[in-house]
This record gives sequence, C-alpha cells and structure tokens, in this order.
Amino acid sequence: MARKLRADAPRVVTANRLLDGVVVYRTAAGTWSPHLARALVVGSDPAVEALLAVCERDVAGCEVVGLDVIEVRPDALAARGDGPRAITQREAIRATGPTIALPVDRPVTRPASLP
Amino acid sequence: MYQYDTHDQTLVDQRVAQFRDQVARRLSGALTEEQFKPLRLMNGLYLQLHAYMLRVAIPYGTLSAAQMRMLAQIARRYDRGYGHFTTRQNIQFNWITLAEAPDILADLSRVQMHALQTSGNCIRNVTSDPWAGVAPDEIEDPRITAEILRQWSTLHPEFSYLPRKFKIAITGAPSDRAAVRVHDIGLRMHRDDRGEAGYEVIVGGGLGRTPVIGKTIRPFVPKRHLLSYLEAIMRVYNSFGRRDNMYKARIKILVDAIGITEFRDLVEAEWTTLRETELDVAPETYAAIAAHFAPPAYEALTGTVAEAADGASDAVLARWIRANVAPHRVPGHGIVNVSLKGTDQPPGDATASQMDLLADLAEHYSHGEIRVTHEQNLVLPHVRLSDLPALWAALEAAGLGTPNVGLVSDIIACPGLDYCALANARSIPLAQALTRRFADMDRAQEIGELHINISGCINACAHHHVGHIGILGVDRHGEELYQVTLGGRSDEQAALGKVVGPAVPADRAVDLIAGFVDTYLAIRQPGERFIDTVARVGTTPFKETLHAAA
Amino acid sequence: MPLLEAGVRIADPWVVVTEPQAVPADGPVLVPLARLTTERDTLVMRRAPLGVLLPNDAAVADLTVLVDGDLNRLGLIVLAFPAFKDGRAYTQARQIRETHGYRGRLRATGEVLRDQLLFMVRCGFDQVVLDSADPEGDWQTAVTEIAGVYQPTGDGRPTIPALRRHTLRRKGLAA
Ligand code: SF4
Repeated sequence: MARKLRADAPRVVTANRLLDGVVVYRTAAGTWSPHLARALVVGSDPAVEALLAVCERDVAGCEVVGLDVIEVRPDALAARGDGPRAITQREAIRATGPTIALPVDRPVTRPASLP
Repeated sequence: MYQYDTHDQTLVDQRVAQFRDQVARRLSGALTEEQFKPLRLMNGLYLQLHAYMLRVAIPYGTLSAAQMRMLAQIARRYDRGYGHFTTRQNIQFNWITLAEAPDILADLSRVQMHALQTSGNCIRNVTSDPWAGVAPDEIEDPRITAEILRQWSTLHPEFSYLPRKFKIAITGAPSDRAAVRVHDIGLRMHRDDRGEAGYEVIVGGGLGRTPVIGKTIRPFVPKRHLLSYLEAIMRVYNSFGRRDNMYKARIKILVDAIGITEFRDLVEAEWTTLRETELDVAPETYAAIAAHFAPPAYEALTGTVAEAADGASDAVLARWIRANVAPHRVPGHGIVNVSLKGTDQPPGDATASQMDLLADLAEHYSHGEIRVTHEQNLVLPHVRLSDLPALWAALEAAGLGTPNVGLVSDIIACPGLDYCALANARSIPLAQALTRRFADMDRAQEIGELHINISGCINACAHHHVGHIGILGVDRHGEELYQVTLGGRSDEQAALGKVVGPAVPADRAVDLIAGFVDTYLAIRQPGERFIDTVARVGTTPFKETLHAAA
Repeated sequence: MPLLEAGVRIADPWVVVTEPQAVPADGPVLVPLARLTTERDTLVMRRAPLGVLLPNDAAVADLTVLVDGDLNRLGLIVLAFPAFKDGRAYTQARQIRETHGYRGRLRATGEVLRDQLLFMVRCGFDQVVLDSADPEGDWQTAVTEIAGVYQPTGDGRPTIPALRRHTLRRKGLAA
C-alpha cells in the first residue's frame, strides 16, 4: 500500500520473502531482516530512491517480493538502540504479528464412548 | 458424498504437478511475480501480511471425516495448528510457505480435495445450503447441481481470465441459506407448473464497494439447460464486463449499466447458439451424480428436536439443543450446528485437535459427514436425537459446545487487519469484545436471532451489508474506525443495511450495539425478531441510542 | 518472435498491411478490421489470401458482416491479448470457431504466455506468437500437462462427461 510520504520523513524499505512470505526489512548491511528494529532508516527522497534501486535487484533475484517504503518513528528510542518503530496499525501488525491470541492446538479429550 | 472417479483424480493430480512446476519456475526466476500471481491465485495461494495464505476449496461446504482429518494434519504439519473456516464455506491456512504449497496440494489430492479457483478472476468455488439434503423444506439436494457446476467451471478455458472474480450460489430450498441474491449468479430451485424442478436464475447481485441485490434474469431454466444458460451469461460478461477499473469490473456493474432487459437480450441471443449442444446436462449424467448424494441409511426413529430439548435431563443441554440443533427431514434426527464462536475464539477458527475430534464425531454420530456454513460454523447433518446428550458432552469438553448458533454472539467476522493485506481495520478483536459483552447465554436466547457481521474493509468478506447489524472497518488517518449499518439480511427477503451515524472507534461500537439490543428489547412486539423490529420501526428509534451513547 | 502452428515453428507468410501502406497485388495480406471496413470491396476481390486482425473489443459480428456471413472467406484471423489477464479473445475465438464454423487459421498475439496455451488451444487457436527460448517444448508441455477436460469447446477432445456417458452405456449394454 503505497502511501504519500513526506519528503523528509524517516523511512525504511520492507518486503516479503519470496520463499515463505515472511515480512522483512532492509538493513544497513544490505541484508533482509525480519526485525524492523534492524532496518536501515533513510530520510530523503533521493536516498529512498537509491535504496529502492538496490533492493529491486533482490526482487529480480527472487529473494523478496512486494517492495514497499514505509514511514517510521525513529525518535530518541532509535538513538538508544531500539531501532525504528512502525507508525500505522497495519505496519505495526506486519512488524509484530496479529494482535490477538492465536489459537493453540491443545489436546482435546476424546470421549470414551468413541471407538 | 461425491467421490472422484479416475478422471477427476487425474485432473487434480496433474494440476498439482503443473503448480509444482510453476512454483519451481517462479523460484528460478523464469516467471515474474506479475506472471506468477494469477497462477498461484488460481491455486488458492495469496500473499498476506505475514505469510502466504492457502485457501482450500470445500465444494458446497461438504466434507467427509477423512477430509477433515487431512485438514487437521495440514494445520499441524504446515501451519500453526489451526485453520479458519470462511464465509464462502472454505478453509484458510494462514502461515504457509510458497515452497511447501505444492506438497500441501498433493496431500489434499489424496483425499479428493484441491484449492482450484478459490481465488483469481475465474468462477470461484460454488457455495450452497449447508443443510442441503437434510433440510425439511428442500425441493431437491442442490449439491447435485453444485457438483455439476464445479466440474463445468474447473479450468474452464474461456472463463479463466474474466474481468473479475465470479461467485455462484445455489439453494434447493425456499428458505435461502445460501444468500443467492447477493452473488454474481444465484440459483434458486423450484418447480414449474408440470412439477419439473429447475432454477430461477438471478444475476448481478453482490456486496463489496457497490452492494446490489441480484435481479431475476430468467424465472425458470430446466436442469438440462442450466450449463448452456450459464455459459451464455458468462460469455456476455467476459465480452462486455469492464476491465479498465477493477472496482467496476463485477457483473453487477455491467447489468446496472446496460439494464437487466438489454443484458437479458444479449444472454438470450448467445444462448440460442449454445443450447441443444453437448453442454446439455443429460438426464443420465444428472442421475449418476445424484447417486453420490443419496441419503445415508437412516434408522426408523421418532421424535422431534423440540421434544428432545424438552426432555433433556440438563438445562444447559436443553439450551444447546434449542440454539444449535435444527429440525431434520427424517424423524428422530437432528441437524447439529457446531458453533466456532466461543468466547476468545477468533470466529471460524478451529484447532487441529478440534478438527480431528469433529472427524471422529462425524464418523460416530453423523454418517461420516460434516458441513461448513457461511456463518463460519460447522454442521453434523445426520444425528440421531438419542445421541444428542453424548455428542454435546464431547463437543462441550473440546470447547465446541457454545449454544449460540444464530444468536447475537454468533458473529461473522473476516480475518481483518490481523492477517489480511487489504484490510483497513481489525475485525477479530471487535468480534471478541462483542462476544464478551454478550457472553450471558440465557440473555442471548432472550434476545433471539440476530446476525452481526464484521468486515475489515469494503471487500465485505464478512457480508456486513446483509448483517442484521453490519460493521465495516474503515481507516481514517491511521485510526481504525467502524461504520455500523442496521437492517441488512441475506435470506429470501435479502436487503442491504442502512448506515446509522458516523464511524466510531471499537469500544464505542460495542456500546452502540449493546444500546441497539437494549432498544430492541424495549420496543419489540411479541414474537418479533431483531430484524422484524427494525423492519417495522426503521432505524430512527435506534439512532436515538446513538445520541444517548455519545 | 517465434510463430507456432499446431505446436510447430513456422515462417510467417502473412504481410501485415497497416493504414498508409498500399495493399500488394498478390501474396497473403493481413489487415486490421478497420481497414477491411473501409476498403472492403478491393480487399475481398483480391485473388490472394486475406487475413484480419480483430481487436478484442470488437464483436465477431462486426467481422462477419464484411464477409457476407462467411468467415471461411478469410485465411487467417488474428486475435489480441493486450495483457494476458485480458481474456476477451477466448470468447471471440469460440464464437468464431463454434458459432460461425470458421476452419481457417486462428492466431493469438500479444501477451501470450505458456501457462495460457492450453486454454487458447481449447478455445480454437491453432497459431500462437510465443516469446520463449523453447517455444515448441513449451507448447508440448502446456497442451499435454492436463489431459482431461470437463467442457465441450469444439476442440474435438472428448469431454469427461462424454467419456462417462460412454462408459455408462457400455455397462448398460453389458448388463
Ligand atoms: S473484508 Fe477486507 S479485510 Fe476482511 S478479509 Fe476481506 S479483504 Fe480482508
């Protein structure tokens, strides 16, 4: 979902891994990490364009799909090493998973009456 | 139940091999994502927020015990131990990898299942009445026709790249439990003056961005001509449906743009070239498929569901029977509806162990058959009334005994923003909050029949327009808000709900709906259901709650 | 780009004549529907094979009226897939073959991908322009990887329902 982003907004590049669909973020080391906190934050349009151009190679190389640029909150937390945080609910959920307790496959009692 | 012959089995097996090759070509780079996407979609594979999602077809919502066990096994082996039953009678697995998808399809084919055409711009899995074959008011089992349609639409060479997805629903009973008026094509079985069974064909219904109640294009099409008539409709749609704007590409927009009369003329002209051809369903073909749906060998028993409830030893059991067991066409039997709407259970979700248990229970108590409803519940269609206490105890012990089918806490909800890449807002947490608010089952019985439907975006997967209370998630500058409608219904008197008030945050939505229910209880007349009261008084008295809650 | 006929690579004898060009006196020519409309008489009177490019938003009837209702006066009809997702030409193909009984060559152009070839063949195309390193191999795989068909489309394959009826009747006779 491409949103209109401010020209100077701090942003990161995200995608899904082709093989398993896992959400990943582009790191400063040029790798893809499942942790938003490890993402490389860029703050200008030219820097975003340049980063996207590099990432496109991994799309062509079948490593990731669905490249997207999202706005993040770098703030003081980033300086403390916590890394960027998502701003929208959607990106927060992409970064950390569903907000609900997922069903747990607990054993159920099978009544004695069944053969 | 329908059993594949070697033709069906070979086709599904070859399709699995074909998809395996397509996945390999995608992973090697021979196919781009753009080229691959329609291929994976036509095999049910989506890329969602966190992973791939595989939507497995459960044709017309009928499952055998062995198939249910395979679904459990897939949930355990390839997913996180659970699956989600959908409003289109399918099941979705949320945590799938692309690399393993072909293996899953191969496992499914071993129990005569597939994920064909559960997505993409093609004719989707045909849906039907979950009580098919057992409903007392039924004219003929609609699954016979649904199976004929399944085969006809499978890999249809002309209609695999339509302007947009295409959904067909069929009912064989006067009470419409298949929502045929809100499908691209709806089929309603009835008899002509000579007593021959055929179909009223309804076209151009649908929900989504532009909700429309379908219009009758032909009051009666004999069984023999059904496929040629549908092929004529599809052909007109494929030629003239819009392809420039995906929001205007459904058949309802075409029917609306040129009018039902002109649309009918085009279809009838095309039909003259298609009828009396090999497309005709030969009586022997119909009979051969009908044989698969012959009723099981019921015992000669007596008694009604009402008597079973009155005679129950336990008040909780009696309440469950009243809410969840429906009358069966055969005396001494009941249709058991299993609620997947327990407190804190995401609507429609079942764990692998629950699926295994249901398979066992189906084998023991229901002639090995299970159904999936478009309310995201399950059905054991052939249960002896004398087995109800034991069956209920087993369900109850597995967290499947919630006595709320058709009641206020039987909420229909799509996956929403917790899973879905298209969502604007979450659906499941709101459904859970409402379920908690209406957790008192005695009060729920007192409130009576009430359908709440929650969709996380305008795609309306939870059919919010036709919920007695409909809730649509919207995104206002990153905030999740919910738009509430009143008075929708998907039965034979299908109607679209009317918006009441501005969109509100989730907690306000819960209060609002609680207020609507209070208003209803205060003003209802004897015997009136929620939807009847709304029909009688309109939305105004309910809007007053809105101000009170503000 | 490679042109295949019935799965075999062939040279293309057809000369495409677009608007400003003069129509050559002989040899097979392929003209857009619009040109056939404006120069119908000259083109139909020519003593050499005529082919037509039918856009996918045109009705087949727009073409039949120009050839006195007899599509077999044409040697080639070319249908377009401007994008592989745009499936209108599948319907045109079946109408041309099955409704109008056309027996000449029917060619698919545009975004023709290997994974759609089976559908094209089933709808009556016998020629495709296929961008591929191994077009003949791709064709072979594509049209054979799924053997059974449920729908009668006029491609001559016995359908699964027909095969079943056959089996039923044989059993009936044996019984
Ligand atoms: S209604 Fe929207 S959010 Fe919900 S499942 Fe459908 S597409 Fe996703």
